[in-house]
Amino acid sequence: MSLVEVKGMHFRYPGVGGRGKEEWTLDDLDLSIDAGSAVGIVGESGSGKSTLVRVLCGLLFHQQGEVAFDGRDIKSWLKSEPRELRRRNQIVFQSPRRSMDPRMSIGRSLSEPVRAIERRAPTTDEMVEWLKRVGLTDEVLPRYPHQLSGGQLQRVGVARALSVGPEVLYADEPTSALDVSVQAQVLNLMMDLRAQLGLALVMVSHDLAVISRICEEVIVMKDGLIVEAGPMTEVLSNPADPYTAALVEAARAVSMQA
Amino acid sequence: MFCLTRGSVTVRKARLLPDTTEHHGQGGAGEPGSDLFVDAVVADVPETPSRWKRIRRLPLPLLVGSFLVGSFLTVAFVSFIWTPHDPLKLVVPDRLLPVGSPGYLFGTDKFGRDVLSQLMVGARNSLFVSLLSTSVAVVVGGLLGLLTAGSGPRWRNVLSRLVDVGVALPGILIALVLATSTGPGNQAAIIAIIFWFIPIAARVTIGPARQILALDYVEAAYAYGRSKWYVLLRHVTPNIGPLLIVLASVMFAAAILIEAALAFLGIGAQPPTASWGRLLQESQPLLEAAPALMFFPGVAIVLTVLGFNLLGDGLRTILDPQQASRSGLM
Amino acid sequence: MLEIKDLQVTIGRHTIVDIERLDVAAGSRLGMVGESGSGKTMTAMTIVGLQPNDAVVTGSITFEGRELVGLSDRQLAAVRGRDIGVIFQDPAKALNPMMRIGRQVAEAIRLHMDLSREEIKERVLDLLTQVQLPDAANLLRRYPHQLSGGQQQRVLIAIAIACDPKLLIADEPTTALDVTVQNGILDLLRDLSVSRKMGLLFVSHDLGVIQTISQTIGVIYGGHLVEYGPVGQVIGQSRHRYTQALIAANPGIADDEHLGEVVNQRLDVIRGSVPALGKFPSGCRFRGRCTAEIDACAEAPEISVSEDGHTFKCWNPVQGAADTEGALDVAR
Repeated sequence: MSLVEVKGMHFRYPGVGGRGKEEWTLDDLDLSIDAGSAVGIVGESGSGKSTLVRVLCGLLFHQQGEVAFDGRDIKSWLKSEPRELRRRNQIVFQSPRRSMDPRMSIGRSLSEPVRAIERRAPTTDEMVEWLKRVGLTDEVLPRYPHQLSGGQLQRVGVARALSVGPEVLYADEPTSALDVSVQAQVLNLMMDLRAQLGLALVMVSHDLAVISRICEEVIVMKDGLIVEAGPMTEVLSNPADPYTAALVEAARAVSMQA
Repeated sequence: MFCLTRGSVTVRKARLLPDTTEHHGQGGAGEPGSDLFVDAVVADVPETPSRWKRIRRLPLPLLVGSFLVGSFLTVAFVSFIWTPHDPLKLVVPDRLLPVGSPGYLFGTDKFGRDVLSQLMVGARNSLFVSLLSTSVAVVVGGLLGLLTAGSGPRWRNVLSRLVDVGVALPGILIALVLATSTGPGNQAAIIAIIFWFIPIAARVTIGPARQILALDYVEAAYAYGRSKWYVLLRHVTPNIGPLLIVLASVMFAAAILIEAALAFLGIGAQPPTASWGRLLQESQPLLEAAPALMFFPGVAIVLTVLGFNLLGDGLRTILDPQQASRSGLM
Repeated sequence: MLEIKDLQVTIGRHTIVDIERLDVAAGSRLGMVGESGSGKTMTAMTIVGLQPNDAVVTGSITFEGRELVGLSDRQLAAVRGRDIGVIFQDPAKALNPMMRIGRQVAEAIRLHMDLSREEIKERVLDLLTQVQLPDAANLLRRYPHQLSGGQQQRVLIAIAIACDPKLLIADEPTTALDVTVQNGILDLLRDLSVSRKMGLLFVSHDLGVIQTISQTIGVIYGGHLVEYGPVGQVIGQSRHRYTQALIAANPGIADDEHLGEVVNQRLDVIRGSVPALGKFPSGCRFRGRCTAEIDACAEAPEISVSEDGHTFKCWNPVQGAADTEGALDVAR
């Protein structure tokens, strides 16, 4: 069942490319994301992958084309049921330190989505459940972000995103800022949670190796365009597009051969 | 719960809720948390040291600044209830008494008014003018800055330019214009300072506010449906809080100086309202005869301005949570 | 050519680096791999005297027979740039945005070599060609922001090798670059090292990159050199448990045939996380995270030898205990 449908989407940052210059950050994109799937979006810097994810989850707004969630255009959702849209789509960011307000306690940060979406303060029991899901305990609740490590903060970020029970979890380079040893922990966590909660996972990464372990489908982007998309095994072993081929080859060259 | 002690480091396995089992080691696939070694939080909370130790650990500027500002405030408040003499009472026979005269600790001015009493009331005046003008300027300017930072590119440009124009306006001229139109006095000084400072407060706020707005936790807030104003007030403001506090204290110091300057020029507080600036001005012709008359108001101004500046510096240090925990206060 | 002996770098109460022995032979490529906070960058910076001001350095770093520890800033500055070149992670930050490329490269030459303007210009053009930048003549007049990340890094390499250094230290030079560009830079560094017989000390957290570029690897954890030896040995026959764990935790890209199998398979993790400074356990630094810990690990391990040139510090290494007798002498 397709949860997210994108047709002919164009996006440009406001204020960019003025004077009628037709330069889109995201150029005529079509894609769809099924419930419960694991999709990877790969590309190099400037490919627009992070921008795409933000448009998909309603943080940025496309100028042309359609972006539909569960059959309805995002703009219609935001007009009639904005909180429901937010509840069902959540996002985890790249830098754990930048994604937590340094002046809010972990407990407060953790409770924000429920406060905003369900208009209530979550109970401590609930918060401990969320923390347990990501391998943390109630000890972190009164702490502040600077007292936690990057890996721990990222886990809090995941807990926070999942606290409202979304159907789609977007992850923008969730492990790029983490050490390799911690990266594996967070990736395993995401795999486990997806299995347990039936989430759709949309992960952006520049690291093909990470994508190849977690995602079943992959979308390759370059300069705002989708260059290739399909099942991960297919795209990586038989890339149809020369750019994809170059990307895979480069990634293989610096990938671990043990 | 058990403790492993390695050398001098104690690593505690944290508590879980009573009805759950501790997960550690390799677990089955799909079981979340199973191989996530539940580790103790990075920073152990140090014991809170004794109060005296905590006071001693505060940064020096804060201590000195607090002392000076505290003295200033005490003097200003005390002046409401008591002054050694009535500062307004002219006792001409007692004019120009030197420092240390019986009953007149700092002497008297050319009309026989007690210098100390006038200083105290002058403090009250400075406090009133500065507090009012600074508060209004910081709040209004800050809001304007937040509004600008949170706007789309076009509005942001328009507002920024307006702010820049405001910053470029010379404050003294505003004061002069006001004084000639609405009449001199404290109100002219207050309004002049407010108009002078609002653009400055706005300009100072815009940059940092924009930086904060670009951070991921702001995006996260939007992602769970918070409105822009919630973000501005609940996320941006506390995070530029230290900046605003420093700004307020520096502005307060400047306001005191400006109030005195305007009074000195004759546009601010008018006689008989006591103001340090007016005291200074009146002391000028008598410089040779009674230098103390210039000394005391001058020193009062210097110490108060210095105090607020130091206080601002010290507050900034302790209000930043990272710095605070490094100096062992949190 | 470069010999490090008993190097200790301490800041405040914390010992950031504690390396008994590390060598770089002339013209060879050494990769130092470790996670953030492991001390690998600190070691590299200390070699050229770029460690923080409050760092206390003891031990010996000899470069071509000359002792570097204890030299004054001025003396070290003379060594830097002329005999030892350095390139850093973010090329955009390392280049002066207000100065044209040609001039920046020329400055590096002018600082250490006494040449006429034409000679310098010729040398600059030559360098830019050597780093495989196309259209060198035109590039001279461009500003850094007009170049791509990969091109910027090549310019930095040109600056670093401008005076024919015997050793090039590269601190995560490809981390900020796209993967398609990375390989070009790595190839370039390898070629330069070979053609100029220039030693290369490459620091990175990325095992894949290190494996590609290095001939010898040093694995650093908690400031200690826990394993050291030829690439094939250290990666193919790792002895230290951390090395083994690090390799296992690295999600490489599987071969085409196996791609489908490894999807959704959990990765091997290393328990816990790197301790903060000052919170490392006593004895072996890897205690508490190691899956093969034994009682002996309460004592700091000594250096053991696996094969000629392959050393490690572990009481319970992969493939059983090893010979510690005379290990320090055998270790290069």
